[in-house]
Amino acid sequence: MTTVIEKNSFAEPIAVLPEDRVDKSNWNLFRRADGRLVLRCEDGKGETTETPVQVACCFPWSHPFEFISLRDDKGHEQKLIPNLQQIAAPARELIENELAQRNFMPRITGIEAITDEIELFHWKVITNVGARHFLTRRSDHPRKLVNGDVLIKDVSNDLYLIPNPKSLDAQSLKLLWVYLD
Amino acid sequence: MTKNLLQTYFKQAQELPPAVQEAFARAAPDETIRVYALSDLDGNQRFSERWLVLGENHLVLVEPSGEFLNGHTAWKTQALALRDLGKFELLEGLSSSRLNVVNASNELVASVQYTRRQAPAVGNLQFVAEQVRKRLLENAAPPELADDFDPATEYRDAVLKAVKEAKATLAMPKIGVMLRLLSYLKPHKKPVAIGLALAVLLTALQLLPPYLTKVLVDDILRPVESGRITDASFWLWVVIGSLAAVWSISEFISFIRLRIMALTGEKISKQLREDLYRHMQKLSLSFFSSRTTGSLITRVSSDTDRLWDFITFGLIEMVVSVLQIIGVAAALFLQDWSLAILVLVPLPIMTAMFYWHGQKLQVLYLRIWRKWSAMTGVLSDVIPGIRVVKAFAQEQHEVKRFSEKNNALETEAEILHRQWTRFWPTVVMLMHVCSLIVWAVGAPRVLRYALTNGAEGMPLGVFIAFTGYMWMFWAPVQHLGMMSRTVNRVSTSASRVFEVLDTVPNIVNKPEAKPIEPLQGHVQFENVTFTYDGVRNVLKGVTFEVQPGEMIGLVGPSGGGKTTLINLICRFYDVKDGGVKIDGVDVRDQELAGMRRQIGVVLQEPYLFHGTIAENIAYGSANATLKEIIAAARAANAHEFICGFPDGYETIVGERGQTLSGGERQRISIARAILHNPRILILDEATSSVDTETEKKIQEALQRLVAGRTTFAIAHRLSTLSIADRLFVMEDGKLVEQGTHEELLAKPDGVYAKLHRTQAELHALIAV
Repeated sequence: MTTVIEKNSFAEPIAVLPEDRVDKSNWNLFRRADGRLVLRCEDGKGETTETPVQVACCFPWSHPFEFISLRDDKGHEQKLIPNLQQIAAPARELIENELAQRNFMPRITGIEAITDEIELFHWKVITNVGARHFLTRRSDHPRKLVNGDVLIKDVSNDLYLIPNPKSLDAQSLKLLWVYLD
Repeated sequence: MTKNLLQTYFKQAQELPPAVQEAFARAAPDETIRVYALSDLDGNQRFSERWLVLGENHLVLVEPSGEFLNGHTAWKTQALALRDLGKFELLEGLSSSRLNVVNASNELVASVQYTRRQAPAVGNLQFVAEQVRKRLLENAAPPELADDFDPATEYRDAVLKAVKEAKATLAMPKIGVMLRLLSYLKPHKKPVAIGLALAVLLTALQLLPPYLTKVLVDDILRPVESGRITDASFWLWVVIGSLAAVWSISEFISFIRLRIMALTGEKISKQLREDLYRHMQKLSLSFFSSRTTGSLITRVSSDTDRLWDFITFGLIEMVVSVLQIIGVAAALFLQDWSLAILVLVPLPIMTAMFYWHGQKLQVLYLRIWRKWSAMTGVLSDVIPGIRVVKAFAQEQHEVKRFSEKNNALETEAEILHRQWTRFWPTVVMLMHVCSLIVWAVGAPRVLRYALTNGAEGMPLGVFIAFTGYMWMFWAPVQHLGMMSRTVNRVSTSASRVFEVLDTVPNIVNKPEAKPIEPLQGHVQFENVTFTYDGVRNVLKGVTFEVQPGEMIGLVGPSGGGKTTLINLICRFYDVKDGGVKIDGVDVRDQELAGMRRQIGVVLQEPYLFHGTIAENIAYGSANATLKEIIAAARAANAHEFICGFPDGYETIVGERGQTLSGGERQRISIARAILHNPRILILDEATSSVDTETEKKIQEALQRLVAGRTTFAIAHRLSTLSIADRLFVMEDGKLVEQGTHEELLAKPDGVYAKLHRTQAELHALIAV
């Protein structure tokens, strides 16, 4: 049962960003006919692999366009992009497109009512993508993001962002006041 | 009931709109609708209404065409033949998901986006669509639907599931809750009636002192002063005596009333607490898995306490306040109607002020509560992790984090204190203004009365009595002003209590169920299918037979269905299809408690209750002798270490008790199972590794435990696997392989052989 590992992996400090993963020269992205985003990589010996990937943000709230991870369907990272601005336009647009879909979230622009439903709060809001009713748990506090935006999670785990809550109209602000710091 | 909830809470259609049904019928004629789901986002990621409707051969997308027909939205459809489809791909985002439908030649034919709210319904649709497609391709008959299957119910349940988890009783009107709470007073009719009668009496008595003062002034003091009466000392003492009597009687009455109501309140809340706990014990595991322990504890403790408070003080106070207002108003009018109107004018203003103040405080309390929980959150976060804090020398940082929250709390409390400190003087000032007005209007009349020798104006005594009544007015007004808040709080607590009481246990004894004692331990699964959510099957047609005394090792990747299989043997849940038989009798036909008494469980994380080690070993075997307890501990290799504690078997364990290592706890729970002497044993082996010496001791104990019993072991250790008579390999809800360790290893492509290789590699890494 006891096999000695040949190389002790703890002897060397672990690189925070493996350099080989950020290299952009030998890969590109394209949209396949089935709608998937596919990563095409060349390994330098003329071998090409094509992997359908999903994009994930490492810091979706504070740095949405940095450290974008491209992962296969099993969740293995294929590529880490430190900064979206540093890559060429076609690939960047594809990723931006994908991110826009993935990170979709209604932005609340006005609050019509927040009513107490015993264990729940019933919100009636106007968002940038239309009117919406939703319920939040009483115990779920809205989360304040570093930039001051407020993030609300409803019972179904849908997210709603209130960008710069102070800029809401007086009536909405009054209703929201309970949640503001 | 659930029908309206989607409309009220989400403004979402409760079922497939008729127009969409028509559109479906046009796109897929003569097909019955199997399931449907809403996609609430359009291609531009705006909220909209698109429907995914699954028939027998087609998946139809129905969306608004953007045109209107006779003022109604016109729908356009896209029908996809299931036969031609390749696959469904689900891509999850932060707050929405996307379902891509790809055809057989790998081209995207449809893509819909929807919020998480719709995800369960869309997930169901995708699952069923895949099943149907598979059947169609195999030219098999489509899967049968249960008789009571209703697409509308499925759709609603899927969307509302999240809401129901947050709050089980969705539609409980406040009035209904209050009425139901009052019904708990029924068995205590007598004390409540006495309490109420006393309260009425008290109110009446409280009206007397100002009247007596009036008699004192107008009929005794003033006449004596003006020389009309010479000797009034008898009447003087009568009045003073009556005052003394009124005050002592009313204090006595209020003492009796408080006592009666406090005791009755306590009886009711005791009853509620007990009903709650008893009912909770009856509820099935699924109830507990969807709620936090904290929220259940609150219901039994502080919610019932709040109800006591309401029954003892709030309820009668509300009745009394109304009576007092009526009584005092009547007294005021009897004294002087014109002045009385003056006093009553500010009444609505006052009530509104108290109401408004109550509302304002409610918001402030909510804010404070948030800040408070943020502060205590830091404490409960950091204190258990204090070793890490110290190891990283972060004490200063943690102090800073705490003081930030602490400061925020102070700021919030300041707002609250500013609010009430401003409010009360304002209110008292307003009262004074009122009394000043009464003085300004009333005092000249008293003067005129004196000047005209009683021909016109108002006697002094009447005026004094009047001002006395006036001051009695404010307390009930305040109570009524605060009432909305009280009712709010009480109905919240009451509905949380009733929510638990209303939950129906889903595992119940059949009336004719009989116990089989003793069980032989023959276990049989016949084509068992099981689902937790009603759609996705966690077990798919599992069939096996286990002879009495056989030991089965359950292995397979996590999520394969091992734990579910065990849950079904214990009948924590009921099967969807097929049957589980013990000793040839379906578990649903057996008496539950009697059957479970003969099943023993050793869990992965052994649970010890607060109490002595001996009590913990004898849990479930109340009549065990000390000798038997020691014998069980010895068999479990636990005797040695237990004797090592200064308190021996009487060492307190569990919360706040002696800390035991994982291996020690495990052996105590093995001793518990040995003493319990079950016919069927469930063993959920810990994944965490213990040192070799301890592992050896546990293995010895286990071997003694399993001997002669039918055993199902979720096994991780090779040593356990090798003693099993047979291994069952579970994967994706199916029993994919069975046989002995050696037999299974001999299949090079087998699931078990693969698992074993991975584990061996892992072991090699750890063993360095």
